[in-house]
Formats: sequence, C-alpha cells, structure tokens
Amino acid sequence: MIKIENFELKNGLKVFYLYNPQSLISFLQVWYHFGSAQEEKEKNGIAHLIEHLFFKGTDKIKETEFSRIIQKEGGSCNAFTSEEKICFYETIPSEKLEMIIKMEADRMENLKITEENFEKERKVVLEEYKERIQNQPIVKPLIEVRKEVFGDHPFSRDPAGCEETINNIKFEDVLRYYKDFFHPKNCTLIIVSSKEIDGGKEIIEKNFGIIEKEGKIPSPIPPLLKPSKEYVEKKIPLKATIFSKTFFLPKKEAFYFPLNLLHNLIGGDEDSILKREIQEKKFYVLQTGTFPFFSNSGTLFLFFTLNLPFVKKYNFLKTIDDLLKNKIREVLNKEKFEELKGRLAISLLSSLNSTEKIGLYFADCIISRGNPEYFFKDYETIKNLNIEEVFETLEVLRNSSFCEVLLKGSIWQKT
Amino acid sequence: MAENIKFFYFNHLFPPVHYLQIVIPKGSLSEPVEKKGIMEILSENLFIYSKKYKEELKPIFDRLGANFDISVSEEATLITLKVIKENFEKALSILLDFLHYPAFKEKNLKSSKKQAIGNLKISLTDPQIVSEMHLFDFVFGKENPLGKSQTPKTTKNIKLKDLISQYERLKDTRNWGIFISSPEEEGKIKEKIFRTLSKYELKNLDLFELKEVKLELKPKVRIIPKKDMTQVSINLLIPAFPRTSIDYIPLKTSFYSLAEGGFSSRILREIRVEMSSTYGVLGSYDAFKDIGYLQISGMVKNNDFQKTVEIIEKLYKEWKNEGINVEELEEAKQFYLNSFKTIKDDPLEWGSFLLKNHIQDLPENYYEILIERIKNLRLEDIKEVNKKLLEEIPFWVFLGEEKIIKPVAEMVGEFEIKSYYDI
Repeated sequence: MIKIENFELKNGLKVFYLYNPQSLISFLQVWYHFGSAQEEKEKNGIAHLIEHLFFKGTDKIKETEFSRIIQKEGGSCNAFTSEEKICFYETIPSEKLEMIIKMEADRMENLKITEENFEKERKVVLEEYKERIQNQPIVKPLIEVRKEVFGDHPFSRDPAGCEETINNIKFEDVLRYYKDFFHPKNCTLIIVSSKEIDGGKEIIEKNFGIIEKEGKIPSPIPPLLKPSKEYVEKKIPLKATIFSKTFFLPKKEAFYFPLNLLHNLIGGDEDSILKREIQEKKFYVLQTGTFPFFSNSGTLFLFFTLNLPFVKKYNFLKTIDDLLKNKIREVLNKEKFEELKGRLAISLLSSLNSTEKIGLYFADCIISRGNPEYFFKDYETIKNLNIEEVFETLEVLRNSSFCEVLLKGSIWQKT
Repeated sequence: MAENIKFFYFNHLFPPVHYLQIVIPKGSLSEPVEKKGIMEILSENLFIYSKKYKEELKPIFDRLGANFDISVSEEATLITLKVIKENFEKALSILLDFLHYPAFKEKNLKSSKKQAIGNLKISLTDPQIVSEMHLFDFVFGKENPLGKSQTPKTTKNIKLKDLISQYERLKDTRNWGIFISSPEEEGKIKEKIFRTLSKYELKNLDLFELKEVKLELKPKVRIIPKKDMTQVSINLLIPAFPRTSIDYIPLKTSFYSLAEGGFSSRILREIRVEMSSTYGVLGSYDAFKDIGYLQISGMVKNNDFQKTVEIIEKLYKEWKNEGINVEELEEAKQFYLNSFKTIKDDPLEWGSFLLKNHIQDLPENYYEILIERIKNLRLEDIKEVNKKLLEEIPFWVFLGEEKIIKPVAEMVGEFEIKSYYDI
C-alpha cells in the first residue's frame, strides 16, 4: 500500500517520496540545511529573514502571490527556521502537486530580492521579534538564560535574532547567503502524495533537475556535549519560581525510544512519577514535568518545576538525583515497562491520521534521525525494545553533564 | 441509549486504527461564571478512576493498544478514542464505563487545579492573551459565560461537589453524536458500536440552559495601560450572525477578503505588506448556534498605531458598504470549496466538522448545502449581507503604553481605562 522511494538528482538534490494511495492531498517539504547556528554571530537572524524573503516572489510570481495561489487551491503554506534548518511546507490537492513543485523550484533559483523588499521585510521581522520575544516578559529572560547555558556554542543564539543583529544585516549579506546556501546540493525535498512515484519523479526531474545553481555547504555545527555553566540564576516577572535541570547527551539513535519512554514514565504524562509524587503531594508545586529534545547536534533532557513564588530553596535537585538513582528502578518493573511500550506504540500509530501528519513524521525520520526506513520499522522497534536498553540509557543520562537554572519570580507583578 | 444518538461513518485504510469521536453538546458556555474552567478540569478528571475498575484507565488502555483525548470548546465536549482494530469493542466498552461510572478524587482535582493555575500565571504575562480576555469582558460583561474568562480565582472556586454536578449535565444523551473512522465497513463497525452502547441505560436530564447573550453598547474603546511595551495590541469585535443563520455563508466568504484570508485579505496586505507595521493583524469569524462575531487582532508598531487604526476603520467601512470585487469573490469561493479536500484528508477533522453541524442542529446534508451555496454566491448577496452589519466598529481594546494608546482612544470615541489584571 504505502511505498517509499529515495533518489538524488544530478545537481545533488536529495528526494524522499512517500506514496500513499489513500491521501486526498499532497504534503511537500523543502528543507534547506542551514539554520541560525550557522550564521555569522553578528548577523544572527539572517536565516529567519531569508525565510521571510522566500515569500517575496520571483519574476513569475508576484509579491504575496505565493500564499494566495496555494490558498486558492484550498491548500496552505508556511515555513520555520530552527538552529539547524529552514523548512518550507505546503499542503495542496494532489492534482496541483506539479504546480507547487514548480513554484518551489522557481524560488530556489529565482527569488526576487530587491533593496526595497529587503528593507520592508526586515521591519516585519523586527515586529515579529518584538511580538514573540521583546514584549513577552517570560520569553525575554529565557533568551538570556539560553545565552549563558550554551555559552560559545552557536545554539546560544535564538533563530529570531535580536534588534541589534537584525539591524546589522545588509542587503548584500542576504544576497550572498541566498547564493551560497540555497541550492539543490544543500537541500532535501520530502513529498507525501497520492500521486504514483513514477509520475512524481518525472515532475521533480523536470522542475528541480534543471536547476544548475551551485553554492557552499555550511560548516558543520559542533556537537552539543556540555553546558557552558553548571548553574544559572535570573529574575523573571512572574508570580512563580521555576527550577530546571537539563542533561546533555550525545546524539545517538539508540537513545530515541528509551528517552521517550523515560519521559512518559518520569514527567510526560498525567500518571508520571513527578506528577504523582511532587505535583499532587507538595502544595507549593504548581506544575512539573520533563522534555526530551532531539537535534542533530545533541540530545537534551530537561526536568522542571513551576512553584509558588515564595519557594526560594527547594530540594527538587535532590529529588531528581534520587529519581535517577533509585526510584525509576523501583517503579519500572516488567509489567510497567510493557504498558509504557504499548503507550508509545499506539501513540505513534494513531498519530498518523492525515497526510500532513504522515509527512511530518516521515521528515523527522529523515531529517532528525537520518533514515527514512524508520517510518516502517519504528512500530516494531518499540515492540522489541528491551528493558535493559532503557536502564542503559538511564545510566548515560545520570552520568551526563548538566545545567541547573533558577528563575526567581516575584510576589507582585509589574504591569 | 443508542437510539438517541446520531451516527456518522468514514472509511480509511491506513493506519490500522479505529478513530471514534463522541460529541456531547456541553462546553465552556455551560459553565457557571464564578467557576470558569470547570469543564476543562472535569475533562481531566473524568477518565482517571471508575467505580467499576480498581486500576486507572491509562495502564488498562496501554495494554489494549488504545488511547484517548478529550477537548472542550465553547459549545461541546469531544471525546476521541484511538484503538488498534482487534481491541475496538473492548476499549469502547471500558471508555464508556469510565464515562458513566467515574470516581472523582480530591487529590486529582487539586493537582489539575494547580496545573491550570500554573498555566494561567504564564498566559497572563502575554499581552495578546490578556488583551483578548479584556475584549470579551468589555463586550459581554463578567456575568456572561462568553465574557468571563477563567482566572486563578475561578479555578480555586471549583470544589469536588461542583465537579460532580457539572458531570451530571454531561450524562444527558440527547443530542450526542458519534463519528467513527474505520478500516472496517460501515455495517460491521456500526453493529459493534451499538452493541456496546446498548449496555448503558441513561436518563434524559434537564438541559442546562445557556444564559442569554446580550450585547450592550457601552463606550467604544477600552484601554489597558502597560509599561515598557514596544508595540500596541489591538483587538476589535463586530457582532455578526450565528452559524445557523442564512447570512453566515455570505459573510464568511466576504470576511475572507477583509481579514480572514491571510495575504488574500485587505487588512494584512495594507498593514504588513505595504506599511511593514506588523507581523500579523488577522481576522476570525467565530460562529456558534446562537451567536456569531467577527474579531480582528494583532500587535502593531507604536509609531504606526494611529495610522493602523485609521486604516482598519477605513477598510471596514469600504468593505461593509461596497462589499468585495469579483476577483476577491472568486478567490474566497475557491478557497472554501477546495479546503474541504484538506479537511476530508484528516478523518478527525472531518468528524469534528460533522459533529459540530450536528450539535448546532444544522440539516443532515449541511455539507452539500454549504458547497452549493458557496458555488452560487453572487456579489449582490454579499453586499446585502454586509449592509446588515453595524455602521462602525463598535468595540475596540488597546493595550500598550498609555501615552501612545490614550490619544488614539480619544480619537476613536468614548473610552474607559482598566488595569491589566482586572478581568
């Protein structure tokens, strides 16, 4: 039923195509392997600004028309910039797949960047920065925390940049970055469609295959092995105090499901250990939980609690140590392990309820984890997961470098 | 019980999972205003313990290959069951046991309340969220379920006995709707569902009446001063038609061109593309069974705030009096007609659409009617419906630096000042 094919065009574009006869629409993602961690430090935000400029049109498509053409067909489009990648994505009725492939190929090569639209879009990007960061009293200090935690590592910079660095970007910089990093060899195209693979392949060859644009491959991002500091403290304008402890693990596929399982067990679900042992029992803890974060540069596993503001000293860090050393081994018996495996398996399977969700999962297998075959194999991998693999990962986690953060809130909030 | 329930079916092949949605026509509009947030808290506590099982639901479902989620909108509560093919009947039966014989515990209630208060503390630091809460308070008032927002205080008010009495209101099976998307054929799966449902005998209870929604025309503007803001948050509301009104479809189509259509809308093109004054000022048309309103919101540059307000007023008046042009009509029609391909691609989204029609008492063939009406819409229809809207935008909320927002409020009309947390 579902078929996958991957191939590379002569110009270096990597293509992953998933054929799903049941889809009513197609979902297309264009991933450029360039993100904020590969920018020059003083031009932080340029990757995100270029993402915006991709909607400014070409000789064939007028400004703002890109989104309008897709919406007219009942589809939608958007984009995002992360530390490692820029992704453009669209949903479109399958009979219009060729139209959207043509449009994406066109803007890879022929983006119309003028001084005027560059200046206009820089202002829009600055407004986005103000809306999402500068005027958000909680987000703003978190950006400062990020700088201290990651130190010299390029992950210390937020993809949005800041007022100063966005204003540093010159028209010539944008032209140079577009020329250097937005070309077939530095790009991966992912398509999920009801259109048969042969037909899709022909359209891709016809439109992307003719692009001769060449450029550079960005320098690799150094692995994220340890934090810059072991302890960071900041004041926040919130009637609450936040504690967190983040562990730094190397990128390794073998950690993927064990860490997800540990996340569900420790802090991801309503019946997790932290919710039951801390949130339900301690009156001053409002929320608690865990977050795993997987990237190509490394893996992070974060513990947090949100507490009433007067809580200044608290043994949360001791709780985490005890949890990792003793509690998990006590709770995670064979029966509990089988239940958590079942939870991971059904969550995975039942999340694939639309072409877009299939596409996002397929892309995660390719872009973050490096193998499209995981799409078919993951369900079995979960079923075959061994409790020893989870305990081994737990030991790695326990012995990893970490950073503790204390965000001190105030009783009264300033308005 | 089964004969009271409306049933909808959809067939899918992949993944090998059944998706079942149960809609109960009770949502946040049925909450007592002093206990706002109770439906959300109830939904979190409903599927933990049951009087029939010793264990919690989650581990039972983990072993069966099933999971569930529950969401609350203004008008309805939607329960979604996702389960592997072979365990469908068993999982449905257990889910219904938990739904009909729940055991609420004080410790879980406390924990959900704390979680909600934590979320609220964080949300209340976001100027746009607070600005929207003020808009609804300003327009509908604190005594109205649409006007009153959930706050830490209303959350603290929720006691175990309130949870139980709110739960009783859910048990009225009149007007429940069920949607199933399944790899199995309709007859077989329907039989399984009705066999399971027939085990439950439930009384029809008195319907909990929605409080009357009245729009009182007050001052035109509310301003909320906030220091150190580099932008102004603008929120405005225009009363419109409910989803059940004959005027809904023309207005929905027309509003796409004013504010709801992203880069296809006049407001975004003017304020973002031409002026670069915002990242986004966007519109939405919320339409329920008995009420509907248009809303436009966004954050704009301090220096361009006055100009932005003038432009929105001007564009609204032009649109209201002259309607839209032929290209805009075609663009909006194509968008809505084609977007159903995307909606139908996701069984859960399609199910939500059908169940929403059901709880709003729209005809069974509403989808076909909708498509037909959009296809046949003419410019004159739109002009006629737009004319029924108020001459001027009646409700504005500005949140930002006082020295920036006050002079503009004076220009727009009579205004009142409220403090940030007075919601």
